Amino acid sequence: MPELLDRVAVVTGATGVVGAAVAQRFAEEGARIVLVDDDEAALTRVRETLRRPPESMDSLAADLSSESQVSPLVTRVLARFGRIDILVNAMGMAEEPPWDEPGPAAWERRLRSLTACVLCCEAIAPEMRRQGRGRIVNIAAPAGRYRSAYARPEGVTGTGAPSAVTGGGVLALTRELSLELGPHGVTVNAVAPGWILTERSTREWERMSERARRDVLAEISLSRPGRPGEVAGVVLFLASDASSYVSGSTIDVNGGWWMS
Amino acid sequence: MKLAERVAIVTGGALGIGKAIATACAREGARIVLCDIAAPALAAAEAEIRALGASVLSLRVDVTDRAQVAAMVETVLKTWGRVDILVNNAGGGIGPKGLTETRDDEWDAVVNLNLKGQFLCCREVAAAMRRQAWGRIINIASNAGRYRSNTGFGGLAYSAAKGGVLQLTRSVAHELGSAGITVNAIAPGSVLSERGWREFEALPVELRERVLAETPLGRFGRAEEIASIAVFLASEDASYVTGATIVANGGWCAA
Repeated sequence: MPELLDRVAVVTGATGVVGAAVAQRFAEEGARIVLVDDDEAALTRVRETLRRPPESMDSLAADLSSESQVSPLVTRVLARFGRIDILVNAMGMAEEPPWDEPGPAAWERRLRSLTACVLCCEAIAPEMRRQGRGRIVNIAAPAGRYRSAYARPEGVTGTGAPSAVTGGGVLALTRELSLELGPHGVTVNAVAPGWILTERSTREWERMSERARRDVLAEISLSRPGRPGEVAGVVLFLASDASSYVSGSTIDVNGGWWMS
Repeated sequence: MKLAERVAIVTGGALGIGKAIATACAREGARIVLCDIAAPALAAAEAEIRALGASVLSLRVDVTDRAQVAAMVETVLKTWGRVDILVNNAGGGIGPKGLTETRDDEWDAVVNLNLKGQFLCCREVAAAMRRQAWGRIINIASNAGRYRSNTGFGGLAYSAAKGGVLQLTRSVAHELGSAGITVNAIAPGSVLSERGWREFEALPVELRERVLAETPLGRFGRAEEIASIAVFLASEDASYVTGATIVANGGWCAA
């Protein structure tokens, strides 16, 4: 029995590798999926890989950091599917600025992704309250839970602070919303990924010295990076009935790098 | 089925959360090794899980006794040739005894049962899991060991031992990770299992209501809601999760 049969799931940041993996996993579990991101062409590509019938799938290109684009999203999903059971905010892994991005641009981009996460939760929560049930799963940027796992190599400029601050913001938002929405049967949880194989992390890996790579692997209990699908497995758990007594929690998906 | 053909040992499996975990694992296709010290309850649980069509081996084991734990693992290996999943669930407290009320022998008994028992079981299954290059260890801790007890019911020694379980989890996770073995903990809040109900009913009404008011989900948990977390941690979905603690307390404390 598919775990999310006919559940309506909105996935934001859906064109990042983690967001796309979540959409893929949800599709396998029978969910009806709405993909949201700001890149129309990338959305189309993800949609095509999912191979779901059109009646179980929708996508919308929108800048969710702008309130005026968030409320049409909710209206559209409700018109199309009549309900919203699950919200996954995957922009935390979708909008990683490159190492070299100058500070001000990185701050702006990261803060926009936090704003988008807040706005999506706020816009969709009332619908979940009305339904008396719902699941919100926020995926934080890796540096939001623990400090960055490895230092930037010599010669690389830029700062990890924007990722750390916004990722931490996502986790705080998660805890606070769990208090507000719990009485209405809505759970709110977060996933804190570690080193996951994304395009960006692969580029970074290639720039690191042999020594630095060895050190990183030695620190990870499972001695390997994670795959996007392994984050999706945890998101599925938090979106399913299996996690019904879990709320306000953050689950580390880092192969045993940092533990707390 | 998420756990098809896996061999899963569940300690304290005759009642409550342990029985719920064994049942949920059986429903996902696992072969179950049910361990407990309570013989009549063990037989009843075995019959119940067999009725689901699962293979069950039930063993009377005191997890605080090294020889009995070693013999248990040997029996499992002789029977099924492997140990895929260990759920360290056996445990329990002695009621709401604080610092000055806890006697030395009570401290020793509670720490032995809740912490040493888990250590012994981890140690005795590790070699088989290493050989298989695959294993899942799931340690049942408690909200009381992660934050503090919400009802005070488990007592000081119980909270301290469960805090130890979380640290055991992290240390063993790091030690066994490169062998393809994950080790995680579940920290349940108040769960209305058989024992949980008895404890719940013994609580002053005022305390009961306060705890519920402080719990965003507004209710206590069910044993099945802990069991579904154990199935997740034992499944491929959790393949990149290790050294982690999954808190299941309805949001009572979130950190």
